[in-house]
Amino acid sequence: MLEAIGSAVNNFKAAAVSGQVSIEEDAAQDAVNRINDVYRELDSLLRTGGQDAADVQLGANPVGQAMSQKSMSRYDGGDSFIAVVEQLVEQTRTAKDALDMCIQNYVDMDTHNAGKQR
Amino acid sequence: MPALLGAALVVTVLAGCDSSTTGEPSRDPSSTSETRDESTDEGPSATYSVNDLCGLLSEDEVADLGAKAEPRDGYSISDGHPQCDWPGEEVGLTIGWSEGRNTSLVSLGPTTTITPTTVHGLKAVQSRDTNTIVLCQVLVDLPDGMIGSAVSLTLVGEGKYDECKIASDAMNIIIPKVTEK
Repeated sequence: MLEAIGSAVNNFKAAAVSGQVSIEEDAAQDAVNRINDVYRELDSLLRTGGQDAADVQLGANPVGQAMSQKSMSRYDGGDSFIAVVEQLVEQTRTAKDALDMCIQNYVDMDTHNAGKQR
Repeated sequence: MPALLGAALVVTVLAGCDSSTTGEPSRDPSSTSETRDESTDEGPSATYSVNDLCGLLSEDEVADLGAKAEPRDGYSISDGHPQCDWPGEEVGLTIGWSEGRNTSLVSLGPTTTITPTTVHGLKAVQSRDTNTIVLCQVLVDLPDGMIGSAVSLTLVGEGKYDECKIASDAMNIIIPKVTEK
């Protein structure tokens, strides 16, 4: 699922970079607002989740330490909840960059066409 | 009339037994005068509920810090400590309380920079993490635990603010409130 979203976002950015997509700023405003809202919620999750996270204390013996490490890994390890939120943050940022490029493409195209009219 | 006065007094006393007033620390029942060790005079221990934390900053103070938003109370998804979060349009601010912990236990990750500091004379650390988002925290030691602010910026706020200055400013507002109780 995440891979599919990431692929779609990356395709959108590639299209924006190549100048294939352009959007008038006012028309894009709703999408910009939605992306900003999504980012704000993801940012809140990382901020509240990342604030002063204490290691789980399960005893100073090897078994307790191993269980503690496993518990923390489920929270912030490679396939954890925090890792998924971090990926979504990156994809949201990429989508915002792509949208900004599409708006700039429109401005460039509009300026170019206006120049031809003179 | 005396009966009415007595009833009002009972209501007042019972109200005092309820949860703590917003913004004021809750007193640990185990540390009341009946059970406290009289040989030490460290005062009753204080702990902070999510309501207490949300009451530590006024609406105006939160707005001045750039994080104008409705506060969200809750608990850390990592270790369950109480928090209050203000997810502003440009600045996100979280205040948290970790009972029984202190700044010497703050962990140093590969993308974290820790700087010792003080806030109103109390031992504190500033922790700035640059993994995925820039998250700056200022954590301050209190007698019974650690209180801290965490600040990050939204896409709209990036480049407009200094996360660590806001985190520090927040603690400079909060610490006098919690130490003067």
